[in-house]
Amino acid sequence: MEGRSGGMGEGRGREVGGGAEPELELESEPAVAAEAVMSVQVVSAAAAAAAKVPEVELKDLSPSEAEPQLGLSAAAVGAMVPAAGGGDPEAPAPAAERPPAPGPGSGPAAAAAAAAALSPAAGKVPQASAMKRSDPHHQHQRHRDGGEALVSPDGTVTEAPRTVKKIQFADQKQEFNKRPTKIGRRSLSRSISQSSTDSYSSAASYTDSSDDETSPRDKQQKNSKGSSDFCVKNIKQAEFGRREIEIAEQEMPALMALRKRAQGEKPLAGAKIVGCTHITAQTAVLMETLGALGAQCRWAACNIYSTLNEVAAALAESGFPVFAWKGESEDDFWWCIDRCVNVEGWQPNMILDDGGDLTHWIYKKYPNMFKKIKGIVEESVTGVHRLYQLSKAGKLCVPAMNVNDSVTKQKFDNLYCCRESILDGFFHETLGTVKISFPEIQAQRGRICLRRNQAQQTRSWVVSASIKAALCRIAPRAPGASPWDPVASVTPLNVLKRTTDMMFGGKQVVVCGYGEVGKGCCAALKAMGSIVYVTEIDPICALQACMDGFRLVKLNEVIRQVDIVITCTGNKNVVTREHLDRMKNSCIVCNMGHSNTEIDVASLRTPELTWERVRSQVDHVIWPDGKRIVLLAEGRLLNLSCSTVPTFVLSITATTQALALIELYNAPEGRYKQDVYLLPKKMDEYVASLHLPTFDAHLTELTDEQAKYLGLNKNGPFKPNYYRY
Amino acid sequence: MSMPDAMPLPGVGEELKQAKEIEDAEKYSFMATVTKAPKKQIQFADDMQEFTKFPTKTGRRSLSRSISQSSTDSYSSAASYTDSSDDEVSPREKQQTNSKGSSNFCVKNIKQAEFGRREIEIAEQDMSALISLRKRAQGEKPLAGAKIVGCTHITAQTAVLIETLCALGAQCRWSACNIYSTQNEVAAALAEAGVAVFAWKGESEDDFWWCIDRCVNMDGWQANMILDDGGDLTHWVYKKYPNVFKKIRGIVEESVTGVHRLYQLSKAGKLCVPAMNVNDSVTKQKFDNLYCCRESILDGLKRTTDVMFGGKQVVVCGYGEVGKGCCAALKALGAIVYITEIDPICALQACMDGFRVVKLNEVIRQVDVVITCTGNKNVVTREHLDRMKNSCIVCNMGHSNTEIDVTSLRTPELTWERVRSQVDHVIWPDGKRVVLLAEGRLLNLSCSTVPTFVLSITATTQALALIELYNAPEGRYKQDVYLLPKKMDEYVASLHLPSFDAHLTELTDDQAKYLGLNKNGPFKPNYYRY
Repeated sequence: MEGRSGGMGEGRGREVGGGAEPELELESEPAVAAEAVMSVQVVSAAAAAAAKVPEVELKDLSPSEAEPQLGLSAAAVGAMVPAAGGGDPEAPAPAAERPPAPGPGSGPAAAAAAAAALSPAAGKVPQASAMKRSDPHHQHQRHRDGGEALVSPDGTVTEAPRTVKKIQFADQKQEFNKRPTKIGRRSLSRSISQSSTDSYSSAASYTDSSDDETSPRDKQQKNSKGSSDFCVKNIKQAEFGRREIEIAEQEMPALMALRKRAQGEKPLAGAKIVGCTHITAQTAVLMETLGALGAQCRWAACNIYSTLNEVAAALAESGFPVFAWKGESEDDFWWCIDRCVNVEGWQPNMILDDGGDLTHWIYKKYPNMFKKIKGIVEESVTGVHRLYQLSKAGKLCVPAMNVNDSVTKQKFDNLYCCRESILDGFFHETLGTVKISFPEIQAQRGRICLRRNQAQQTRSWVVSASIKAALCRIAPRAPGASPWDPVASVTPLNVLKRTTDMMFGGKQVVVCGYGEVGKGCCAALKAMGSIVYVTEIDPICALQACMDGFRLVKLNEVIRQVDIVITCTGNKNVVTREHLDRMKNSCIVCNMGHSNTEIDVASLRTPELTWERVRSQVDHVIWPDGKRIVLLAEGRLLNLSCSTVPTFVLSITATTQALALIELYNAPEGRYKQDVYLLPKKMDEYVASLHLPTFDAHLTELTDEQAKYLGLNKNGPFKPNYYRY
Repeated sequence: MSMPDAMPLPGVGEELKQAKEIEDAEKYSFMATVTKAPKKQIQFADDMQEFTKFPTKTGRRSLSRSISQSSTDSYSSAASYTDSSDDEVSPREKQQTNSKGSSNFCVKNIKQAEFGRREIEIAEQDMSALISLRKRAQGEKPLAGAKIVGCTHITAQTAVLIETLCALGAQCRWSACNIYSTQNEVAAALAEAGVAVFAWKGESEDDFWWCIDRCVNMDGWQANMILDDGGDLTHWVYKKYPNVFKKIRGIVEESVTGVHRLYQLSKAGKLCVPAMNVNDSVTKQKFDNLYCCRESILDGLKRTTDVMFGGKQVVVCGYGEVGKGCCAALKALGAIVYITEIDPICALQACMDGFRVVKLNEVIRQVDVVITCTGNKNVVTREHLDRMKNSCIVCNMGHSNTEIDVTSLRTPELTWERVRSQVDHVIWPDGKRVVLLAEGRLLNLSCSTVPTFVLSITATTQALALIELYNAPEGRYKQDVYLLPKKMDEYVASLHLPSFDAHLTELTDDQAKYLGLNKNGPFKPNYYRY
């Protein structure tokens, strides 16, 4: 994905994989001639050092071993039981730093009873927990309120001691992006990748005052073990962050299996990994997996707005040197990275990067250290692009793995992530936050993710799109009813008409771009009954769209009639002011591509147009004649701003990263040269196989005879390198 | 296509009149218009057309066989289906001349040419890309001087390809790559149009090689390009005419088997000619295999069994491109679909697309339809067949007929009942029946056709590959097996968009610069997986 010069045009049909014999396991040479911009090397299974990889015996985490689905970890449960088995609910529990109890003893009298009720129920784990924000006594203390409402299996709601923890969190919406779903190809003149400062402009306007104004750099904090080798917003949020991590662990079975499987042998013993990715619950699971496999990690954030402060706190609490908080300045950003790298007596030997900034920093500032790195694992398009450039200039002196273009990332992350989150983003933004009571949650299978509702300044549990669709059919409650009545409701700030489950059905939608992201979006929208048009520049993708049953149009042809415009091209200025002028009233415009250049938002900031902030991430832009269009997330990545991405899909990518690190770290000298590699196919297959148990999928094995007939090894790889899935 | 009743041959006087019509028709044959030929009496064999355009999935076979299995596929049961053909005389012994007086061909019956011509015209309607290629390149004749010897199926669709190549300036000599797949009337029409065709339906193995040899071994004419499907022609030229082989400018191979053989040659260092692997181009993999099977699985099952799909439990073995296509179609009609897979990546795709991934043993007792498309052998064994429920349908969408262990059913205690052409009931002693389609051979080879439009994509790719190899400057391609340049794949796709009235967006200069792409493509890196 680069400017390919001349050679491609006419006759350079030589494909790297094409020369390779499909069923033999060769190590292909760098097969491209000098004129190629990049060399893509494919390391075959023979080279894969992870010989142990295919013999993994997976077992599902049995429910008894698993942490409780939602809610408190065992540690927290234990912490909530007063050490003396009763008595003062205000007593700080051991092994956790507790802030002093807030103000008046607002804890319910039942706190002690509840705690006692919990202690014999170590096996009867609380089913769910949430902020008890509805208690009329404590409306004014929403933020300071540490109470937990627990639903025991028989449905009764009890409350844990309020003072056990006090959770504070910033009010602005979580804006984070797990992976860039599609990144425009940016020039490299910027020293900081655009993705790391993305969402700056509007987040700033959203930010209410944080907990306090001091920068974490100036704070002296210690975790409970007394270490201060970290820098997070507020270490006291650790408990809550821990719970988030546990929720994520439920949906990331592969990483947990990897932990168990490899924990004996510690394949990363001696690895010193410096990482720069988003810091979220899901990546925290990855980091802790790496730690469990023997690595020492130091971590910074790759995006100044994507860090979940409580997760960073939880990581710091468990001993990780983490340097990240939400709302860093650009200066902070580099400071954090530097703190990871520039440490007395500790030199990294592996890099895990997302966006290329960390690699860039080390390469520029610590070239000696760079030379000693054993391997780089890069997962974003931008970072990969930079690595290829380095490699081309002959300056890459370290082997690097390109995770972005592995099968698992391309075919699963981009496709299924967007398929799930396109609807999620819409539901969340246009339907509003749906508050669900716990009996509802218990009744439904589904993924539960946390959402922030800025306007209400509360936490609410919001279920993913699949459940939302069902819940749309439930009638709204009368105003004033308790939120814990077993129905769902819609927040009153929903300016758009409350929609029914026919929201997408019958709507005309145009999706610009039919790459993996576009394919996912179109599939989801079509399944919901929309009439979907596609625009494309690439004839092959266009033909795929045609054959999948979508009309292939130019944007101009349909712009007047569509109800929703979605861009996912990786390009810039796909939707221009002209298009916006011609859209119909109430047309929704949003972007699923990584860069925020796809919709020309700047062209809307003219005097004659009025902007109305309807709610966080939703703007109405009003023309003089009264026409309005609905712009989501100011044209930024929709699932960065307005939804989350399914944890399970992230699990696939995270497992790929972990395996790539293990592979690079353990490879014998000289196995990998100073170049950018794609993952061996066997590794891709292993990652996929780790995720199959979640679906209760039973893989068939080849008999010896069949394996011989096909010329394959029973353990894979099963397909040639150029196979496109 | 419908099958009118067999009629006697026309009288002689009529024949002369029709010969004139044929000549007129020929003049305009390259235009996509319908000729005004009178209604002809049409006679053709009664058996179903058994043909495969392209192997949808081929196992990797050993090379000890000198003839690829695909070329003799469907022998056993076609022989039992064939009523007597027009006559019993082998075309080799016949002396036929076409209306121009040439006898440089060998087909079953030249008089069928008119009907064949109409079939070709029907095919042309849906192969607009090839037609537009003809128009576009007709001025410049990019294949002028090319002497192409070809060995593919001879059907209406490939006939459009052959005539396109001729229109672009090539001289073609053609034989069939499968002894049963030739449409006799189409071969006749081609012979009538002056193409040296050596093929008929129901060749013997000896005939098969004789036809190939007639193509290659001709005084005063030496081939310089090869278009092959299955690798038999290449093999023949390589073995028998090594000098000719050395002078070949390029080979275009489109089947998995043939590609496999080429890679073996290349590895052994014996490939002295550049070759293009059309089978693994994007257009072939992503369109031919996927959409072809998506359309033809239902067609095949309906034609043979009239089964209703809604609510049926179906197990599809394999989730490659063929499997993906089959599953999509079946799911769309309301079937409950299970998948079996050995490859975890494909299995994960299946899971995420909403199919249960199971082992065949787990569902074999409850499913109503079993479809194999793995490329493997003995996927469905006698044990499985014993455990299937009564009236379970078993069929194969993979290229090779080894996927279902049919020979294991030819035991004394089981009764075989021929219900209709290509449909057998296998009856157990206790009365249980299993419905076996096409005796385990490729379903859309035997029991249905494949959409012409999809074939158009592949045929266009082949044509462009030939043009590319022929016109490449010396040394551009070495003695190796190449994949198509992506720009060519994109061009093929763009030629097919007008059928959908699809309007491709163009990059502005600004956008092209931003993305670092050329406005005319290629738009994606080589490893992009679509």
